[in-house]
Amino acid sequence: MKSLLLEVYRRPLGRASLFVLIALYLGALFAGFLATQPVNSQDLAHTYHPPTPIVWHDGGLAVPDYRVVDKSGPRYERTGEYHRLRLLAPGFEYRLLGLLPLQRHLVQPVDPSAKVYLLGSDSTGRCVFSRLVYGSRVSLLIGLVGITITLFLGLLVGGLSGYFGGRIDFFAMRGVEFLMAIPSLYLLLALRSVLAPRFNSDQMFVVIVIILSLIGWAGAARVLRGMSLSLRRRQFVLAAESMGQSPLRILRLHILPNLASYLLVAATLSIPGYILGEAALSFLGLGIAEPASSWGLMLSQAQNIKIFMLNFWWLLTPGVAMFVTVIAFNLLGDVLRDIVDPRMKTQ
Amino acid sequence: MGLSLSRRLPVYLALVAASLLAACGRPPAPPAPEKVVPLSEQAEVVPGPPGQAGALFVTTQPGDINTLNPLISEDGPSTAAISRFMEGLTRLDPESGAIIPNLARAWSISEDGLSYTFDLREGLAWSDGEPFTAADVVFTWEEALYSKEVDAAGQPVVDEKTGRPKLKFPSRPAFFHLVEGEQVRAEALGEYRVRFTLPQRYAPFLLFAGGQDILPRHILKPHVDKGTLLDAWSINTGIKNPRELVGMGAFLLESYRPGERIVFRRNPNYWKRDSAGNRLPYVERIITRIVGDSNASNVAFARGLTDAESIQADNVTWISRAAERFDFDIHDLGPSSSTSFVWFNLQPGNNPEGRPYLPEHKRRWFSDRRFRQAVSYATNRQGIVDGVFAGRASPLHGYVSPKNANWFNPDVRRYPYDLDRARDLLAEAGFVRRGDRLQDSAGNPVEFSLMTNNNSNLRTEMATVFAEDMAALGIRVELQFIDFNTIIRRTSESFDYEACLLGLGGGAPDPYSSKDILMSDGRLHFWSPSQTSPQTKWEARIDELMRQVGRELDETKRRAAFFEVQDILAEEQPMIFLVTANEYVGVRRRWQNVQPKPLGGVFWNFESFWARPE
Repeated sequence: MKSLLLEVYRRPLGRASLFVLIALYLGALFAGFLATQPVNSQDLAHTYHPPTPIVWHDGGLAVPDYRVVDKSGPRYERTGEYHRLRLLAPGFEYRLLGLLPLQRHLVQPVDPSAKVYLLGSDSTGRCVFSRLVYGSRVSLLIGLVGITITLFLGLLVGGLSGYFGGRIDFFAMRGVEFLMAIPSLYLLLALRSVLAPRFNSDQMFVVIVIILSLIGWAGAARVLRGMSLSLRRRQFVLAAESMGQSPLRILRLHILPNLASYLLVAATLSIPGYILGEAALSFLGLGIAEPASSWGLMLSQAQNIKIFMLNFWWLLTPGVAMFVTVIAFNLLGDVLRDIVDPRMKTQ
Repeated sequence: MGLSLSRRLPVYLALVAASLLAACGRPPAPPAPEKVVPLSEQAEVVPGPPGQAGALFVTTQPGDINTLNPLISEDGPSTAAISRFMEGLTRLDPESGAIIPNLARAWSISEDGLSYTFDLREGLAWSDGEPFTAADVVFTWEEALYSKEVDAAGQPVVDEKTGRPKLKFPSRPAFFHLVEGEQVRAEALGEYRVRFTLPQRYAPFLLFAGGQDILPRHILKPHVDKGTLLDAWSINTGIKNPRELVGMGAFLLESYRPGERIVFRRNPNYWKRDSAGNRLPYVERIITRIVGDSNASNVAFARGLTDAESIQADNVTWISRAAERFDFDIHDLGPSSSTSFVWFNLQPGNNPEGRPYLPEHKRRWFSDRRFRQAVSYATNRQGIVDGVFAGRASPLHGYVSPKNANWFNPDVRRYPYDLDRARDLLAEAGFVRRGDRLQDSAGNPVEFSLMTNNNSNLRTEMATVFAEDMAALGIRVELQFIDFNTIIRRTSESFDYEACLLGLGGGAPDPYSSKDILMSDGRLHFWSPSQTSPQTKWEARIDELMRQVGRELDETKRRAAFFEVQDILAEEQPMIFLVTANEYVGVRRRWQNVQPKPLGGVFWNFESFWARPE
């Protein structure tokens, strides 16, 4: 495992994608620390505020001050004043990792009434940057949780049916085919609307992950079954069997380690599917609901024609975040595959 | 085989040519010459400078029409198309909202308020040149609306539910014009005089009956006799035989292609003239392109492709940026008649499974007037106006939008944004603040869910603001954005909800049309519909006042009664009103005689719009 990480690190593409992903996940973990404002704090006098750049002014970090020129736009212009920023300064209260109550933030204005919108504000004057980092928790975690459930189920069903074969294999594979025959998007929509009134938005997150992964495990099971079927015929497995080892021990010691490399690659390459799946659901208004935040939800709120016509580009940054995450996962998956399976080398 | 083909080839060619020739060789039947009747002495004279005829008016319309039959039209696009070629006996003054003559030139009401006599304008003609007389009015009421279903023996069939004779053509207008379930009788007293007899006094009759589109007897009588009236004037008629659509309106349908466009031509027999004696309307043709949704329609206008467009409040800013380039004005018509509000579920009793519709302690909060008033004080209406609508809306304090000036009570109790008042009221009602959460006297944390429809971004944004306003009081609001039909089911059938945010569109010109919402037995009495007897004293009082509004003919007394209804609603806050969006209409500057009025909008005098042909 350690050598695998080292291998990834040695390749420039692997190193870059690893760094990006680590940064993203750290950001999600320390969202409260990074956020400049509470995730739902509205300011109806500052809707669609443009991003405030951080500049060096008068011997310290500062953000320019804006005032509304046209409320109906809304349009803002700089007043020429600056608000001083402080690093690691106290601000609103949050819980670090959900446990530790804290008040320190990476950046806070010295004057608490000053407006810091690193990525602008949305239609009710909420800070897009803060929502983006809080929303990354949902969007990034959904992939990890989803892939864990998928691979666990896939490994269980695929590995066992490949190893034992016969009737178990027959029934398991027919079950898998049954699942694969269900049009997944429609199933998702139907399940979501049936379950909607029963769960609040926090629980809905869990429900969505479970729906997504319960649909997704069938494909993985198919591949894993084929792989364990071929491993089953290999000499070292036959040898272990003739030595009288129990099936469980064989599965654990001889088959699973040989599937691990595939699992790793498959996991990395299918996480983006979950991230995009959550975005698609939220975009259709069926995913994460207000007042929680997720990238898909933020994008769906930016699909108003006014946002394009008035060039409120910062409301589309969740799309950029999603793009970066998906690319990073795909690159990492490619690099991993090159390492564990050099014959398939793409470069 | 090859030989036979080459031998047959000329035959094929000849056949193909023949069919082609047949296709183009059959010229469309020359349109029958149009019968144009000279302008009547009693034609309406529209004041103002005369214009120039002949211009084309181009618009877009989100959504296709479903029918051209005024008896069954329910949706906006169909109703808009029908209103181009149909007219009623009276109309509303665009400024005061008073009832003014239209096809009828005068009317009188008997002492007892039971009979209405209309004098029609004489010498008018339908768009095909046939005379317009009292027979058409009587036909519309007695035959189109109130024909009775008869069985084989010629006896009227009785409806089992109501015990009244069944209608042959059960249409919405027919039920709408019933007075407390009874029919109105219409009879002709000469060629141009009609008398309506009512079963009892009914104040809004003049308004409702005057607005009924009059149907052409000479066209629709055969449909009545065959029993196919409700199938007549379908979109197929519009496609194949638009000349059958005969009306008294300023325009008549020229052609219709489903999903593509509707073309209207000016009615050569229209009954209005300008000050110089020219027959109106000036516009030669209206071309309406059918587009997918109102966004597409707004974009078409912003790119200068259409002549006029009604613009949603939050699109005004970006559309106005193209105003100079494409030479249009955006007219601000002030507050619209649409309202938005939040209400709490007050439905008593249990659901079919025997459980109460909402937990006992929540019902106790919601039915406490002080709780509702506190919520109203804590709602930042100006914040919604500034933030969600970018200033293009007005705070709303009562049931009636200020647009409906005639019935708007400006002195209702107001609930300005005041958190201290809200906290005082909550404390008085026994709520206590523990930490950042509010609890009732029994220690239950105060929280409720609020639902609204997910396809309206303005409503979901209002709901987010409302939830944040409640958080300031320590009340947790869980938001549910669900589809509209589910909301209707939950608020009117299963009562499985706690609070809801919705809006009402187009305010009716007469307060009595609100009886279904305001009276406790109404089906749209949002907070607790279809009550068998009023639950509270104030609802009983509203019922009484509304019955007065329905019966009383004297305008000032009606207004006094309806003002009191608004006062009670403001005091009790069963509906917590939020804002009313402003109304905007864009019109290209080449159009002359455009005189927007707050009540009549932009198109009240469309027949006098004119432009120099481009």
